[in-house]
Amino acid sequence: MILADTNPFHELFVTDSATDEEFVRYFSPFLVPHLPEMFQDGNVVLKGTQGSGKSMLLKLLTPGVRVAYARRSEELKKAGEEGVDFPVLEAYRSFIGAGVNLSKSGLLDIAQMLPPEPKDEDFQTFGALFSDFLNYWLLRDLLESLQYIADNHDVFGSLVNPIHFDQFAEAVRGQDCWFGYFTDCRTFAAFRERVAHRVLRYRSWNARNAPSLDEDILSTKTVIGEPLSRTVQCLKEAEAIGRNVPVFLRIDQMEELWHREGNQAKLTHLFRQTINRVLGSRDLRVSFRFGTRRYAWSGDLDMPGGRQIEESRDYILIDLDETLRRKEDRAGWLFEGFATDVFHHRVTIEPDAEPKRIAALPVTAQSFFGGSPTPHELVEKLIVTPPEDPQKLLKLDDYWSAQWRAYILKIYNKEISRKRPKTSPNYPVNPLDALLAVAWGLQTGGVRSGPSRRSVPPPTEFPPWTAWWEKERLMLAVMQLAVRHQQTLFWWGTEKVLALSASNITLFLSICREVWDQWRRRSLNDRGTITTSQGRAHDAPVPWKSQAVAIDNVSKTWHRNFARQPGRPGGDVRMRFVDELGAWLRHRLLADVAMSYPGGNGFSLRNSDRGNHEPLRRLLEEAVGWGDLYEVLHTTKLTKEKHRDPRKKCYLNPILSPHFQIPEAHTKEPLYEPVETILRLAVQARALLGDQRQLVFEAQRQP
Amino acid sequence: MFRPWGVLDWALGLSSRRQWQFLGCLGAEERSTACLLALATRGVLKGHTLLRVDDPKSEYADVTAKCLATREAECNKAGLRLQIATRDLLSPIVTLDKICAEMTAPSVILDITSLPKRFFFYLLKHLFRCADVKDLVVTYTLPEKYPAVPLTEDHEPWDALPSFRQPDPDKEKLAHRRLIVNVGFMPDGLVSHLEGRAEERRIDLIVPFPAPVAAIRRAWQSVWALAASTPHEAIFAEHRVGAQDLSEAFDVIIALSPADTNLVSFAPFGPKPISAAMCLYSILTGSPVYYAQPKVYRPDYSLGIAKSRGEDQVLAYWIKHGAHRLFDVPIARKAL
Repeated sequence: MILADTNPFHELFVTDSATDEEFVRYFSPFLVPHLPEMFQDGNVVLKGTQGSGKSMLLKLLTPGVRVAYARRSEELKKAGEEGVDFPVLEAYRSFIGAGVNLSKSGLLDIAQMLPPEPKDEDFQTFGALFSDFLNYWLLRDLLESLQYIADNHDVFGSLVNPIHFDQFAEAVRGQDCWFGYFTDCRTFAAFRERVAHRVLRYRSWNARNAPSLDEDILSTKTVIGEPLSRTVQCLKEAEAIGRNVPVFLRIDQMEELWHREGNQAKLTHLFRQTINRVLGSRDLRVSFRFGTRRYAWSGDLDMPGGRQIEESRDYILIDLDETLRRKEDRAGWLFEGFATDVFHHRVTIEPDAEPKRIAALPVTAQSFFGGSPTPHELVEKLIVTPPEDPQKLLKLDDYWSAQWRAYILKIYNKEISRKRPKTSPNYPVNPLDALLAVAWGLQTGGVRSGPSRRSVPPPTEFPPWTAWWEKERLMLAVMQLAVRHQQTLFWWGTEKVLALSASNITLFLSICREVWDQWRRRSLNDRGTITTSQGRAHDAPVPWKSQAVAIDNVSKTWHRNFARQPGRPGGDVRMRFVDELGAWLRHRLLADVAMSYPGGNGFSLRNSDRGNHEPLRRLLEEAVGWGDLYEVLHTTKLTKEKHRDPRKKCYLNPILSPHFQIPEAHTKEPLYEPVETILRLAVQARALLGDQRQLVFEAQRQP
Repeated sequence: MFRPWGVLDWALGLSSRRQWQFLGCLGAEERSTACLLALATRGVLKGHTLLRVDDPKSEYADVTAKCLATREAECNKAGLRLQIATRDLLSPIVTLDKICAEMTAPSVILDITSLPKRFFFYLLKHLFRCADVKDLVVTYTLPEKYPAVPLTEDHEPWDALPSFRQPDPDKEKLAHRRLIVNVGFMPDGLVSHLEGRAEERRIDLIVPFPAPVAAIRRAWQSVWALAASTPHEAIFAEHRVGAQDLSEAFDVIIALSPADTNLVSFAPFGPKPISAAMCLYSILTGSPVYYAQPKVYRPDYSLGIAKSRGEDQVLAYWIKHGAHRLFDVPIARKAL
């Protein structure tokens, strides 16, 4: 039984701005064992779209979270319950974490101080200032972490040894990397204070409270990374931390370096190169952890001097989207387990205040959402009262022979059926199989420009097609039937919820939240409580209509949300492009009566075409980066270009499928579309402008 | 405290007649040059600088260029030899320093009508602090109406306005406890910030009321969007302030701010006079100001100029008079 005044999914995002206590409350540790690299020496780049869970994983490295786990565990044990353990393996827990969020820290405010007409020296100077500011910010946070860990020794044990902090200060102050800045700092406290002071001076300068930077800062600018490595080395030599304790320095929201224009963009490119140098230096004394959106880690891998940083050599890349995405083998699909665990975690946690929600919750994601309908079941829900005239659904033209018409009508009227019928016994007709028969009859059977099957008498057996042929076309047929019956397509059930979530935990949570709200509204009894069903998986407590309405709402909400996101171009511009794409794909799918292109809810472009149309490439990359679109490598069946010119296939984010009324499943080959078509759509959407439009005409001139 | 504000002639007439240095914006909107033309007609203009702000390339570029040419022609017809300084909308803020350095006259009018917030906040900060500027008046011209379409496009991520971040990271955290929002027409950046699980646990909305009916409707639509996106645990409160009442807005902000630190965070998404109040409070206390800067403004961002008895509705707000600042936090609060 669940009391109705709470929705455990209300908090969608739990990012680095959540308190440590909230983190403990909401974090699902499911992924942690699958990402061991996060807690071992070496540089790691964590890449993913918004809401994929990057910041949550990075926050696990902060000492405050570990303390929050310990405190929560104590509270629970006092209350006679089982404690919650810090979700990192015991062997990997002895680390020290510190970090910076490029957005919140104000580090990039430095770019606002760039002179109106900057010379090369200005860029060099500002690059050096950025390196110094970043060093000191990370150092400030590292020293704060050390103090915090020392103050909470009951949680961290002997991870740090504060008795040796002053000894560390004595050792570190004399390092030549500071250029004498800490000469007078003989204690840990004085060292910390001087570091914090320097950060404050930078920020005061950026706020124009100080007319210029102090001379003692300008004359002691440090080289990126080196002071941090020296600090860690001195900490170990002074035995303030153990020899084997790794130090993880986080740099989150790398995408901030991407959101600049003009000279500032040139400057932030230089900042990016500077940061790359940290990775390229392969300094084992410190390990960096980067959090970044997809689009901000697709290029820009060069360091000052030209060498590029290399994946696996200089850093390990964890692509969260890719890690969670469903592959052909469902057995290894992490997202399914992750979502199930997050669901369970949310519905079983105790709220902060008095236990308003009674914890007797047998609800799992599977029992909550139930099963998804088969295509035949879906048609029965969509077309409750079939039209008297089958022609309204089947749209047979004048070229069908009488024999074929009779064959199709027999299927429609269930006079011919499969050995194991897929329709319900009570449902009077079978429009789905009849429409598939129409499509099958319109096809040639693989003979290019050959006659269609309907030019010869219809088959005697049913179904005449293979299971694969049918599987790939079922949802397209459902879509066409729904439109002809002027009905809206619906989605519900666990399978569909997971598919629409596109392996993104925030999308999954937003569906859970809305479905929960719909369910609450419809299921309240007199006492304000909801009784859940504990039955079989298909005995879902949430009626399909509630789910369908909720999922439709979520889709529309995300369409608005995507449009509100910033970017280059911003979300509103990108969504105009996505709207054009959605309308175009839908039109193509509906017009494909022979169902020759059932994979036409996506399109495939050659990498060379993208390369030749830079503005379009950037637009697609940005849309993929923000999650408006979804893109994967396309192993084309066109043998000629298989290895010569690779392709990528592009789909709308599945969560937008209900909004655009397009099937979400990616079956069969996508549309092999000339790049001009996509360019034209981008121009129609006003997402490519001015001289960028010229590219369309150039593209049209190409043979 | 009485802080005089009202229609231009009345407000300027409260003090002895003087010559004013004018700093404003040459924008596509008709109202952008109304104050400059009014001052020129009255013979109280000592000099002027008009900032022409170039948006990043957009589909509106041609229309905007035509509108700007029309504004220039209107000024030329009035006998003004325009002093125009051109800046890119997203150019580094130090590019305004040259303009600031030229504002050394004792009496300055800053017309915020068409100035983007990232510029007018910085300019107001400079003029408010500048000891050479003894008299400072902010002016704002009301439009006849706003078109019923999105007024801006393609916004930047949520970030501090240039030079309006609290320098001390620890104090900045304190400021994040309370967010005061000036509710306006374009909450997109704000909505996505709040959906992104903002730190702010107390969110105060300054809702412009009274205001024109269309503006009220759109402001409340924004309130609804904000409420829907606000984190579950945040405390959410609305406060109504006249859309043009800079002084009242400043007092409301003081009342809402914690007496121990004076620190709050601001999100100026609504009427400019209320945003100006936020700017002044921020200058005085170091409270950070956050915004999601749109990169594209429609050339018809507003239409026409509001009239009162046949006169353009240009409002003037005294900020400094005879080197005396009319806006300050209470002395008792300052000591804390």
